[in-house]
Amino acid sequence: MTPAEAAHLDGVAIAEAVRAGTRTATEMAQESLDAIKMGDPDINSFTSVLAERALEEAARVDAQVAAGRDPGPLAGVPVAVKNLFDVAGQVTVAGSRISAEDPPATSDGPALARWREAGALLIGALNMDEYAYGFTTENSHYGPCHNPHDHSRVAGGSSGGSGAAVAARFVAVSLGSDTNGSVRVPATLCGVFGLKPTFGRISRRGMYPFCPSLDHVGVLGRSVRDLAVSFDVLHGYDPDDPVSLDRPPEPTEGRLDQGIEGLRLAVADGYFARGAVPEALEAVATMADALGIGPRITIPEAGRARAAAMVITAAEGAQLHLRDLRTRARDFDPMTRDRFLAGALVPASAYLAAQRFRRWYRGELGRVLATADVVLAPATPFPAPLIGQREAVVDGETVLTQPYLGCFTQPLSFVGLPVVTVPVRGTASGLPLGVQLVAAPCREAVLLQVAAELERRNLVTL
Amino acid sequence: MWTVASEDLERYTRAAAAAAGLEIDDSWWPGVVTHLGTLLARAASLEGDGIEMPDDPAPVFRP
Repeated sequence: MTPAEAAHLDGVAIAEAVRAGTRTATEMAQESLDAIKMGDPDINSFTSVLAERALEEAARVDAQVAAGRDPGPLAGVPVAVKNLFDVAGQVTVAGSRISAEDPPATSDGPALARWREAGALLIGALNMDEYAYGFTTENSHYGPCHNPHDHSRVAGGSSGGSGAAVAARFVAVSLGSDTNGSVRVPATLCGVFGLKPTFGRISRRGMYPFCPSLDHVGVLGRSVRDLAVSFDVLHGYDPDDPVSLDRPPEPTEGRLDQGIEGLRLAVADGYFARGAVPEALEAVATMADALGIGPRITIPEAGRARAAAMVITAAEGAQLHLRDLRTRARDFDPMTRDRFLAGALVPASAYLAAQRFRRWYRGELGRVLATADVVLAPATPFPAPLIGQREAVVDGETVLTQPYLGCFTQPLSFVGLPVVTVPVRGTASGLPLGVQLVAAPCREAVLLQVAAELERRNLVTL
Repeated sequence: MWTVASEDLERYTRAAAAAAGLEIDDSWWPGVVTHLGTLLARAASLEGDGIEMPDDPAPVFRP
């Protein structure tokens, strides 16, 4: 197998080859490092590459294979993490200049530690919007992350590096965080799969927070089975994360070949059927037609849910940075500073109104999702904008590009629902687009089951 | 609920920033006021027909 062939393997195939002894973890690590050295100057997805650590971990995996021991389901799989996850010995910069002055993390966060115990090789840390407050990863401190499909366009955000590094085949899988769409937007714009699990499913300990009542850990990859295996390794109760769900693990990988027979599938209409360029809506319709989905379902007040999510995000996000906003506001990225300052001035009554609305909305969505197992919706309103593009025209109206990218993701993460985004290619632009698969809380397995069926039927395009 | 009349918004922003100990550079001012106005308008939009807001927000959110 040549390095070029290896670059087209997904994580599960790499692990199978390493466990079988047909490839070594050291080869996989070195090929990933070589690809980054060759290609990332044009993409800017990595903010640090940890070659020494990657090769040490690879040697450990190879030694386990040589000794006849199983290194785990991600044996020798190159992975990378958004640079807001703690990595032992590295400063958790969270896309900022301010946090770059912090001392290095003393240990890996639990999500990364679980991946490492499963045999994964950490290759490095990835570019992002400052403190995760954005949808485009046009970071003023570390430079914009370029979309591998068109270098003049954004990779999405805030986990832009996580999307780009997987799409460029530098690594097989990456970790991102999703508060309002920060896994799903870059996964969509970069043309890879994204999984935002139910709120509290994966421990957020060791992850720099953005908005504590909305933050999730998520995964990006080039196959459904990579998401499934990663999720199976990552999820579980953590008593040291106050929002962690205390329920037994629910493995998903074994469900991937079960098809969609008997599942109640529906398409979201109303808010989710307008406010986007035609090809974004056509992507959903094409998929629904191929699966023979007839029912339409209305998610009520999704626009207000997005509004409330913005209020909560601004208020909670600013509160975390209040001291720095008082003493060194000039050191913030101009792309985030104004919004953090505005968030610091949101009155408590506005914040609490948004939280009260959230509780009402959660009840409404519970009723809606009792009638369908999986609901299809568009992921973004348009494909990747140009770097520096501030406005776009949708349905004849001018919208601000950056915030509008989250119009379809925010109403769903707002109440912690699990979502998988599947990649498709736009019929007009030829650029990646995506479809969200949405389910009731803790039903990640059924989402991945449907995504796997779409993959089998060649309805997805990487 | 909150209104976003520009003169009221500017007065509120100046007073709230001063009370919070935040210094807002003149060049940032338009962006901050615009963002805050948008947030307040969004908060004001949350009450609508058929929405029965519960009295208590969920203090620790559970899906």
